[in-house]
This record gives sequence, structure tokens and C-alpha cells, in this order.
Amino acid sequence: MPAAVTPEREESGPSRAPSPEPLAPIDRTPKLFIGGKQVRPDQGYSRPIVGPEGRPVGEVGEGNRKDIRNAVEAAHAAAAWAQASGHLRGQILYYIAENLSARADEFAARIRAVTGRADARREVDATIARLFTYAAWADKYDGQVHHVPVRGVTLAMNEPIGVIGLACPNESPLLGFVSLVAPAIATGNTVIALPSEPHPLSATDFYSVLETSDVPAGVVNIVSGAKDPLAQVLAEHFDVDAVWYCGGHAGAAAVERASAGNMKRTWVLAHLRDWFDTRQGEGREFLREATQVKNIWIPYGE
Amino acid sequence: MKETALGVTEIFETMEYGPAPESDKPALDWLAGHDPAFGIYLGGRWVKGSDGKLFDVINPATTQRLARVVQAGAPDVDAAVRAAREALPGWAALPGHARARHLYALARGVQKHARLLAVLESMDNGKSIRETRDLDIPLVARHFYHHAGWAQLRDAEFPGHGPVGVVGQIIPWNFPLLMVAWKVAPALAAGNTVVLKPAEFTPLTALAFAEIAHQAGLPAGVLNVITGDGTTGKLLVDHPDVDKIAFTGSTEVGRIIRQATAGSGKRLSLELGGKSPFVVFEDADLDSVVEGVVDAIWFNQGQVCCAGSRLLVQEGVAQRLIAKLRARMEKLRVGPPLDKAVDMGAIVAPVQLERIRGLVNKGVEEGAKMWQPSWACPTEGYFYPPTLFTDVSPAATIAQVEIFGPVLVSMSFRTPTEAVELANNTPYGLAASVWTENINLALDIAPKIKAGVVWVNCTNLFDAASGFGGYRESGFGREGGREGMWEYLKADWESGLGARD
Repeated sequence: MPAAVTPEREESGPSRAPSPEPLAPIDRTPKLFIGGKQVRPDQGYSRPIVGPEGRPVGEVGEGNRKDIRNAVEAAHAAAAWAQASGHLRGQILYYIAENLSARADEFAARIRAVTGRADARREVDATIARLFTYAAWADKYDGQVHHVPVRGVTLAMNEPIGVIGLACPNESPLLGFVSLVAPAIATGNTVIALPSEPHPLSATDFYSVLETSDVPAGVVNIVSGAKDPLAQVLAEHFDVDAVWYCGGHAGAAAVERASAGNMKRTWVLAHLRDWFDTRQGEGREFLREATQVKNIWIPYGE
Repeated sequence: MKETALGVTEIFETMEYGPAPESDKPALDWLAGHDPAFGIYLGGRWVKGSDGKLFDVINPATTQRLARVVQAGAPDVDAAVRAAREALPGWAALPGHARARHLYALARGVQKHARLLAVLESMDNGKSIRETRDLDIPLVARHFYHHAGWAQLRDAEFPGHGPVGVVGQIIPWNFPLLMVAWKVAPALAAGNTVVLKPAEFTPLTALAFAEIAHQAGLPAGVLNVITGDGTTGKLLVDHPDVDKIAFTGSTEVGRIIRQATAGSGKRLSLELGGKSPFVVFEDADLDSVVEGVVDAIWFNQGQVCCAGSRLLVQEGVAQRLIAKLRARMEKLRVGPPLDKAVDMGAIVAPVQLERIRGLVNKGVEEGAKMWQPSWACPTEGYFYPPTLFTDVSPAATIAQVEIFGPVLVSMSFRTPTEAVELANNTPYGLAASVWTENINLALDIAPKIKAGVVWVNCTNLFDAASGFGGYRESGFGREGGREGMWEYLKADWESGLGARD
């Protein structure tokens, strides 16, 4: 089993009995996160995850079609999230940020270990800021009142799409993941997120942040594994209402083709984005993709 | 309809309608000016099709040929896309105010030729002159006025955004010119250039519109109009130099377009089929409801994607409402579309008539009870009477499949919860209408119905300021309003990024 990344644990405390060797770190087994529970993958296979020099850094569950099916069911069961007030959803997003912030060093160390990047702490800080952005938006992404030539009003409501499958970017494993999850749940959707395929450990670490942040079970489901095949399953699923896909051309084409089954909305983020850039990585574009406009005509008088 | 002249006293006695025909002469003269065949409009010029293939355009109310138009082939589609591509930099670079002047000129042009367009539309499609004159054409002008405004305001209201590029637009036959407006106005306002393909049953008003645009001085290549059937549409969808496809039509074709454009990087907006619920609670004003139902399902012979084709009535008033509806249906008038006093015109084409007949037969076979008025439709032309089904099971074919004809299926419910379940019990989600005098109930139900448009105590209202489009298998994207403008805009920073892979 690969070594855990937190260096503190590798040192013995002074009160401990002298030992000729430092103690082996305690193994951590990241699981899938479905319906608010940490679950083992249906098939019981794991996939090895390697760090920048090809050194093993952990193993994650190999999700399959059945795990996706369970996650979609859990996401539907959490549909009451759409009726939660923006105020409540905002509070929960702030709380996620708060709990991530308390573990910022740990998350930074993980990103450093799996990517070898020096700016890991910057990614964690940007992620916390991103969560604040969507906590802010949760009670502000208003609809409109249209002026139409009848005596009455037309209310243009921004409604959540429903259940969204998210194939998260491979780069920026924590920031990219949160950049898709946060706008989707801020607007009342429930999601099945496929984390970065080469660097999924930041996402699997993240479920324990979700668990301590009052996120209702099933609002965020995380299925690790081979991203393109899992994205294909999401795109084919008749109870999934939209798929956002960050990945290569072949995967994007497959998702778009499969989406024709129930004509779900797809959003292919075809370009390599700079997730740190707030213009590219957050804001109204994401909120628009997370919602659909319903116009309610209400004439009055005679 | 009786053709004999009646004395005034007799008219008072019988209350019969006399014929009130709108003249077709100006439209026939205009058509005669395009004999033996229309061209296609490319790069600001009218040209013949590359291989000389033509097809006939038929008046469905008379089965007479109105015109011959080009069946555009691959070289024509290529030329149209090339013209649009060449015109793009100049058009996109124009200041918003300059584009606004052009859109304003289009709105004015439509108004100046309003009657010609209304008559032509009625002859081409079979819909009544009352509808084309009072609804289609005024909404067309309204759409161009509204979007002249978005052209003017684009840079202020959508900073950091520009056009998507060359847009291929494929539109249906049920609202031929209105769909031209819904597609072309936002595209041009945002700075895109367009290749438009009208439906093969109804290309005439799109061609007339191209003439109006030409006269109004729209720069060459900004709007290109090609005619043809589905094969022409497919050429446009598959064309590698098109940046976006906007399509209105059936879910079946929408699905094919989604598959065909997969992985191409083309943006897509689809406005597809529907089976929209018309929900009547027991406290509704039933006389208003009856008129609402007429507008919901017999408007445009029911050939409306958002037609209120499923009548869901609360049990306590179901019998009373059905009785009132039958009485009203008995008084509906089906006849020559250019008669200003008919309620319903002709079905667009024999293939549609066959589809309606087939589905109605299926409904009867599956055990639903069919009712039609006692009077008969004209025998010349493609007409179908208003039809009402009762005792319909929610899983019946006629309760699930879009009929696209004047056929209403009715079901009853007991509780608001059951109403919502029935309302959402199709794969579609285009529109819905909710009837109750209780605002609390109306505003509780409206968000629960999965549909892009919900009309409270009204139906089939449209406006350029209010986005139209579906949920679920009714497609995605909106047309109209601020929400519709996003379909034709792209963030400037996107152009600077590298592709994945």
C-alpha cells in the first residue's frame, strides 16, 4: 500500500516508546461517495494513483455502471435540495469553505504530493474563494420580470436543471472539481462528479469536508475511476438531465452523441481553462449552464 | 358555407356567416413575378440552384401549385456558407448602432409588406388569414424591433462577448415567417451571419423576407436563404464551416442533429416537440377555459409545438367542461384560410393529414372515446375537423405522442399533486397552461411543472421579450429576451485558449 502524504504522521512523538524504525503510516482507503455514504465500489476493484515521478501515492475505487446508477438514484432522492432556500444553500457553501480552510495545509500537501506542483497552497486558497463566490451567488442569481405587451407580468425563473453529471478537469484537481460542483449545487442541482482521472485524491479527500458541512446526502456524489467510460454512462442515463464534460475530443464527442437519448443538455468545456482566472473559472457562464429559464405568464385583470 | 346572397331579415333569422374572403391577387401577382421558379439568395444575389433541381410549393387549401423553388444541393450550401463566412468580419465589426439600424429597417420592411406576407403565409401554410394577419406578422415585426434594441445594447449589456460566427438555421413549416424572425433577429443582433433553410412545405415567406432584407440594404452575405428538403438541411448541419446550428422541429430530427454534430464543436440550440398539458382546476372560470382550449389546440389547426394538447381537468368540473367544449366545437368554422371568418384552415400537407388520421385511429383502437362536430370539412384541400378524446388512459399513444393536429385528449385528476404527476408524465417539457382563480394554487403548480413556459389563465402567448424553449426532450436553448441572446454570443477570451488534446 502506498505511503500517505501527511508528513507529520511519519514522525514518532517523544512520549512514544522508542522504536528502531518510524511507524508505518496508517493506510487510507478512499471510497466512492454516494448518497452521503462512503461506499466501496460495486466491483471491488481499485485503481492505483501515481505521483509526479511515477511513485504510487494511493488507490481509489474503480467505479462502474452500477455505481453510477446508484449515484443517479441518490441524486434524485436528494431533489428537495432544489426547494431549499438560496439562503440555506449559501450557508452550506460557506460552511464547506470554512471546513476546507481548517484543513488547508493537508489539502495543499496532497496536491503537492500528487501533482508535484509548487503552487498547491494557492490552489486551495483559490478553491476556498470559489466556494465563497457561489455561496454569494446562491441567494443572488435572480430571475427577471419581462415586460410583455399584455396587462400582466412574465416571470423568468432560473430553475435548476435537475441531476447533472460532472466530468471534472484533470488539471487543478481540487479547484477544477469545486469549480464545477459549486455552481451546480448553488443553483439547486444535485450532482454526480467524476474527479480528475490522474489526480482523484483531492476529490476523495473532499467528501469528508462535505460530510462535516451539512450538505444533505445525495446532493454531491463522487464516483472515481476511468473518466470517459463513466462520463459515457452518465450521458446515456435517462435520469440524468445534463452532463458537463472536461476532457479530450473523443470523450466529448461520445458524450454529445450519447446525450441524444433523452436530449439532455451537454456542456463541453473544450478549451484548457486557467481555473485560477476568475473570468474563465467562475461566474455567470457557469450559473447559466446550471439553470434553465422558465417563463411564467401571469396576466391579470379581466 | 352558403354562397347565395341572403336578405337582411334572413340573415337575422339564420345568423349564417357569408363568405368574407381576403383577396389573393397581390400575392398571386407577386408569385407570378417569380415564374417559372424562385432562386436562392446567396451573398446578396438571387441565383439558380447548381443542378437545376426544383420542387413544387402547394397551397394545402386548394392543392394548387403556388410556385417552384430550388432544391439546394451541396455546391449551393457551400456557396451560402462561404458567403456568410465572407460577410462575417464586416458585420461583426459594425458598431451596435449600425446593426441596430439594419434590424430596425427589417422591422419596418415587414410592416410595410405586412398584408402581402400575411396572405402569402396563409396560402403557403393553410393557416387562417385571421391568424397570419393578427398574430404571425405582427409578432415578426415585434421580434425585429426588440432585437434592433439588443443590437444597439449588445456591447453595454454583454460586455466581453461577440458573435458565435456563421449560424445555420433550420426552421419548421408551422409558423414559417415567425420562425424566420425568431432565428434571424437574435443572430444578426449579436453580430452573426446566417444561412437559413425554411421548411420545404413553406419556403415562400422566407424568400419574400430575403427580398425585403435586400431592399432594406442588409449587407450582402449577412443573410442567405437556401430552399430544399431534409437533405439540404443535413448538408447545412454537417458543413464544417458552420459554427452553430439552430433548429426548430421534431424531437426525432433534433436527436439526429445532436448525433450528427457531436464532437464537431458546433454550438446547438434545439426547440423540439411537445405534448403540453392544459390543467384546469375546479375553481377556474370555465367559459374562459373553453376559449383557452380553442386557442390551445385549434389555433393553427393544432400544428403548434406548444399546443395544449392534453386537457387535464379536475374531476368535479370535468363533465361540465366537456359539455361546454363540445358545444363550442360545434360552432367552430373550418374552411378556406383566406376567409376572414374561419377559425381553422387547412393542414399543411397530405403526409401530416395521414399522420393525424393514423394517430386518431390508434386512439380509437386503444379504447378512447372520440368525438367530432356534426358538420363536415371542405372536401377539396387538406382539412381535418377539431377532435376531442375522452376516457383516455395516461399511457395511451394519443396521450404520449405529439399528434401535431387539431386533436385534444382529455383526462381527469382529483388533487393538485395528481395534476402535476399527469402534467409531467411525458418525455417533453415545452409548455403548460394552468387555469384557476386561486393565485396561491397557480403559483404553487407553475414551478412544479417541467416546462419552459407556463401560462396562467392564458395560453399560446408569445413575445420577443420573453424567452421560449423547452425542458427535457423538448430541447434546450431559449428564443427571445435576454436569455435568448446568450445562444448567439461567445466570450471573447475563449478565442485565445488552446483546445484540449
